[in-house]
Amino acid sequence: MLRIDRRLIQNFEWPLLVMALLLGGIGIVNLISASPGAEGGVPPIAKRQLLWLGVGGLALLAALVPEYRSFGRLAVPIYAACCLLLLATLLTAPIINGSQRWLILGPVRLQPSELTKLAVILLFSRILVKRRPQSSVGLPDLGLAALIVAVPVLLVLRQPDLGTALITAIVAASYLLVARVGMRLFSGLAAGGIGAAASTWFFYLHDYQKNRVLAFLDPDRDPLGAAYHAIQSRIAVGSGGLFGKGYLQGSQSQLGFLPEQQTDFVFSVLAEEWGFVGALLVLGLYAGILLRGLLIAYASKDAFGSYLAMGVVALLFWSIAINIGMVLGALPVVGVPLPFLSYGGSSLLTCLVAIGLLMNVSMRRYVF
Amino acid sequence: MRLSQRRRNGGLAPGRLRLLGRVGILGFAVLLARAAHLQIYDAERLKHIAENQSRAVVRLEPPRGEILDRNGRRLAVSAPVESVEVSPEEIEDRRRTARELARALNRPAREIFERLARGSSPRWVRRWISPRAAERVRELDLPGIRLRQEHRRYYPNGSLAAAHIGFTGHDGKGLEGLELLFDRELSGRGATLPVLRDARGWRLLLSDPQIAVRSARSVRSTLDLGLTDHAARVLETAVRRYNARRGSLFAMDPRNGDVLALAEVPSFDPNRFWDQSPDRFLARVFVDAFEPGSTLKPFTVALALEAGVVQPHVEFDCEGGLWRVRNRLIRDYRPYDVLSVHDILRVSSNIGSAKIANRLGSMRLVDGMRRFGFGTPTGSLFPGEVEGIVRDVREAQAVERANLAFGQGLTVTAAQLAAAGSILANGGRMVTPRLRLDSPPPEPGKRVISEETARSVLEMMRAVVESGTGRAAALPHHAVAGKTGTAQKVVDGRYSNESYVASFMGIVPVSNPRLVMVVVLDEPQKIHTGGRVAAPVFREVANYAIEHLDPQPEGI
Repeated sequence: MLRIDRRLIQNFEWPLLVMALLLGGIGIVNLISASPGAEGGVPPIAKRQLLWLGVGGLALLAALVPEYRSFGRLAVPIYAACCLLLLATLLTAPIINGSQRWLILGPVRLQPSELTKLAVILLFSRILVKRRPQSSVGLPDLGLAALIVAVPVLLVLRQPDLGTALITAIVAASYLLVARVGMRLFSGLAAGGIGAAASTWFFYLHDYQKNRVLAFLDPDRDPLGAAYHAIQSRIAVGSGGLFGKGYLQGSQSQLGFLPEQQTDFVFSVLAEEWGFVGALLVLGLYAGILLRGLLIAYASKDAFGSYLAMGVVALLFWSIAINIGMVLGALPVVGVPLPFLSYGGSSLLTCLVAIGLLMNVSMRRYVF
Repeated sequence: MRLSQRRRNGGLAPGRLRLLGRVGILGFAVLLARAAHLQIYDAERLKHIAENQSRAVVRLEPPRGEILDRNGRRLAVSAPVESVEVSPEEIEDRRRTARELARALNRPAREIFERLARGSSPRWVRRWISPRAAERVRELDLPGIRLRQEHRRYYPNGSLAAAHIGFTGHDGKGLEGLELLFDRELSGRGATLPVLRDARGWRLLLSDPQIAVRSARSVRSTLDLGLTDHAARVLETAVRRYNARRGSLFAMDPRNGDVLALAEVPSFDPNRFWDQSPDRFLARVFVDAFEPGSTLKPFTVALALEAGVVQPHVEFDCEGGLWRVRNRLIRDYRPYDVLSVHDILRVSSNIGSAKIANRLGSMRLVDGMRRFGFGTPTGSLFPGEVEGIVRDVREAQAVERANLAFGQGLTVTAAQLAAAGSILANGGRMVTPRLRLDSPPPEPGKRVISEETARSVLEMMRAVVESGTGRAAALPHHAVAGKTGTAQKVVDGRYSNESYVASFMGIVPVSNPRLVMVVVLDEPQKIHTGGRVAAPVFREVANYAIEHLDPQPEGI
């Protein structure tokens, strides 16, 4: 299986790799600026992220070399392993910033919830492919799908990590758009979704999470409390103007007004220092990756490849859209890391593996 | 990639995929529009907000200039002192920090804890701590606790001339007295520096303050520390001995107006002004006007001489000590039958003075008093100086005219009395009390009376000290000119026979006057005449002054 087909080399997916590495590089450079106070030299956070970029590169290769359908065959064990890791996290992980997200493995801190997203994509793609002939998806299928999503999502919500749970659920729901789901069932699901959202609000959300949503709807409600993040982010981004304040010159980020500026609000730092032009460039790279991903989904010879590519595109799209929407004050504050830019090894690793999977599908479009 | 080659072997709907792509593009368009809105449309407003958040200005004040006496000795100095500041957010263990800090500062732990507990912005825990306490705090090296160097004001002479030198507030601005009067020079030109402020409120300087701060200037006052010190002691002793409510002393050089000594009893310690009674802060020699009584008579006589209505040897019938004017009886302290103008002043006859004023007339009397400076501030510019009251008197108001002649029915300050006395002493010219030595030398003042009149009144006042009511003011080697005053205070609308203001105005040496001094004691008990209570104070202070200011005895 590892025999390298010449066509694989000829069809090597360069554009995706280049765009992803560019974003990774921008991410490191931006992280250096987002870690003020470390006078002289590269701040340790950027060094660690660089290390993760290397590890992620290897993982990308690992996701690229085996034929992608073999991942499909392993979808169930991978999914089960991820669920067990999530369970282990809840049982053993220390509480950091009020939540249990990180599994400590020696010197490495791993966030299983990040990898779980890919596991869900793999399993969904696998199940959809097995549903032949192409009759529309019925209620029992949806029930199974709901169960598959519900287990990890509930485990992640327990941590609690609303952002990751939300992304996982939304990515799963995105499959509804491409799978053949009947109109009546679709509208029924929509109604059910609204009902679920309402009951989540009343029964499941923590007060701080509700406050964030309320703060988004009315930022002046509590400018120093819940809405502080949103307001400060908007100030940072807007004050960057068209061309930005210059690298390492962003007053809001360098002086510590921006909260979470290395993780969830890392895009504010970039937008403040590089302005609209910088934001446009990064958004352009994201758009390039996503469009490329859609084309790969289109062009794939088999349904599994299409579903897989579609899932990865959905994962990246929702992460980007929700994060940047939040940073720009167009969406409520939800803790979703920005692919390639936010500090965090697990997130970067997941993104690079996702890119590897996309490349894998792309390079094998002529193989079968 | 050619889309047409796609095999349709799964459940993937190509239309839906295309739709997904469009939705995605729409989503990105929304994000871009939002970014453009913030970074282009709203950029100016948000830039402004960002700058307001991170930009601040700090005032840098140079150390406040010193106030010096006329010989360069220090009356008020600025010394570096350290204060403890806290940034509550950086504290790791509030309870432990409070406990250790409280021990280092020697304060109750509860008090310190409360200072640490509230809010999040940096603030003072305790200001102006001792160097040893500062050392202890420095050694603790607690997170969130910092020492900040400040300058505080010290008054090395404590209560000496405290009301006149004044003091500064915690912000270093002059609040009273010379500190207030000279505030601009003493403060110097500070600098307003733009700084960056981070989210926790710490400030980062943008530029080097050394360039911007112009140092403050010291001010040399006209006060003589030695004389002031001596005056304060003598006055304090007198106030205590005669059980007076308070006493004031004002000494100036009649030639140039230099204010040489000032004293108020009781005084206060300006180093701890905040826990002392504010009524002691008053520099009464400038801000408290009183009825002078007989101390005013030399000016009545001077005006009559100047107008030519009397001569020193002209005699008046003093009515045996009791004279009715309209429905009022005027009394003399002792009964006299006939007295010359010279003797009227020497023995301080009220009846004689009233008769002299009758010759002069109300108009010339009141105008003359005003020309001597009564009823207007002296021009010293001392903060809060009052003008006193000199009412108009019509020619028909014989009682009022008589009263004014011997110092009733008007109020004056000790500074006004000394400035007017200086006119008699310097040959008839107006002189303004001067508080600042390094100011341009004063112009010769407007002539008020002729030199001859001045000389003549001075001779009469010399007789007051040699053989009149002011004998207690006499100095062994120098001729003294003076005038006593014992004014009844008005209590419940009537002149009291128990409450008096005893005063003495003295000029020395008579041949070439260098010092004019006014001593006022408020409500001395039992013994209350200016001649016995205030004149001795003059003698002792003037004796010191002559020895130290002019070592040449008169006539040698």
